[in-house]
Amino acid sequence: MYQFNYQKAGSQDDAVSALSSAEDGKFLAGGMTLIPTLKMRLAQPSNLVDLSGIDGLVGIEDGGDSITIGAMTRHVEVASSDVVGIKIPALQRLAGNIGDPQVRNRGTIGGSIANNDPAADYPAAVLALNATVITNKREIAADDFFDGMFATNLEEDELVTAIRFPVPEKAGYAKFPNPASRYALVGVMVAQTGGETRVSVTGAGQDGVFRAGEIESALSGSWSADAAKGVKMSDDDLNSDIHASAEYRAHLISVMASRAVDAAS
Amino acid sequence: MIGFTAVDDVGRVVNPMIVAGQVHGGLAQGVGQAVLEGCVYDDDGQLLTGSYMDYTMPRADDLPNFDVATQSVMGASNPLEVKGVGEVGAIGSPPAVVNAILDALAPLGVENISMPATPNRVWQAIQASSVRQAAE
Ligand SMILES: Cc1cc2nc3c(=O)[nH]c(=O)nc-3n(C[C@H](O)[C@H](O)[C@H](O)COP(=O)(O)OP(=O)(O)OC[C@H]3O[C@@H](n4cnc5c(N)ncnc54)[C@H](O)[C@@H]3O)c2cc1C
Repeated sequence: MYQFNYQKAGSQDDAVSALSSAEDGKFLAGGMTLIPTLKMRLAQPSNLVDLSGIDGLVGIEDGGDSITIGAMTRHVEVASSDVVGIKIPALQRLAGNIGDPQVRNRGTIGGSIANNDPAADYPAAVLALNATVITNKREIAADDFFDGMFATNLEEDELVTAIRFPVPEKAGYAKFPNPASRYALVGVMVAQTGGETRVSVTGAGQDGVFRAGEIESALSGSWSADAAKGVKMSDDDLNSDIHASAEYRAHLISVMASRAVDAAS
Repeated sequence: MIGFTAVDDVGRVVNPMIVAGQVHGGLAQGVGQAVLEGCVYDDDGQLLTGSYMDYTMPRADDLPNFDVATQSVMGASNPLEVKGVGEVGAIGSPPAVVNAILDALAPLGVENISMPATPNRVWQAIQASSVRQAAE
């Protein structure tokens, strides 16, 4: 680990101004990705701006036809939330299967989507549920937020403050976990919200999370596990690594989509 | 994996709890070798499985409950009549697991699979199987 300055922000404005005046600053949320990156000397930020002291970034708010989750809300809180369990059970289950208990006790939803790991679970939920990312500056629609592997359309000093999920008619998530890390080797979320069918895929795409238009059309025609399984995905633009070939990932997308339909409620 | 039974001859059992614990550990290692663990290097010699994010150690939720027993013939070479239990679990378990996988794949004509038999490898073996290709 290289040396850095640690700052604990007391407010959103504090955090943003600390970051703007730093030479190369980073927000620190749960640290589950950032700290290992520092330990392995893959990054050398001049300043870490800790978000954990800021009021109002933690919590789950029931807005009737939507749920708003604060950026610093830990995975364990989403996984054990009654509101999420009643309104979007797929999201509750997704959070409960992230990594392991230690990771769920530290990792945050804001950190997860800001990081946009190509195998992370939450990006799939944000995209399939057509969520809105709320920052200190603006609101960003899910389709405009993710911008390729480990990249988003957030500006340098833009702080994610919350994510607003519309309550779907039904939604389901199925993931085939990487046996070592438990990130998604392939994860698929299917959702129907306001009559619209959306299907997102994480873990598989070379550019990170994406919408599977073929499966969306199939499920719009007939919402059934068979319809999802019948779609033959192309392996173009899919990842190939030591855990799974692109062909296997293509196969898994249809299988996970069909399991997600079966699990949907 | 729904069950796992192991019977070993360890000579005289001095402490049954330690014997069972050793066998449990050995079985976990054997299952790991059969389906999970493998060091992978790229063409430049860089280790790709350099951390537990990529190297799959067997963990409790990868394993079933073990059913272990001993069937002991006293050791003749030492006064305690022991034989040793350090690695016995790891010896029979890899072939047992791989044979179970091959038994499941036998109707497809798959006769060989290398360790670790990961989901990707099992799927590839199914894709390449002669029975499946003949059916298509
Ligand atoms: C062993 C292990 C297993 C894991 N398994 C899974 C898994 O199965 N599925 C999964 O989805 N994830 C998994 N994760 C990732 C984990 O769940 C966290 O979501 C992830 O590490 C990022 O969240 P964090 O709060 O730790 O963010 P940090 O590590 O603190 O930050 C990550 C990045 O986001 C930025 N950031 C953080 N918060 C904000 C914000 N509010 N606004 C703007 N930028 C921000 C930081 O500057 C940093 O660049 C795993 C992690 C580990 C270590």
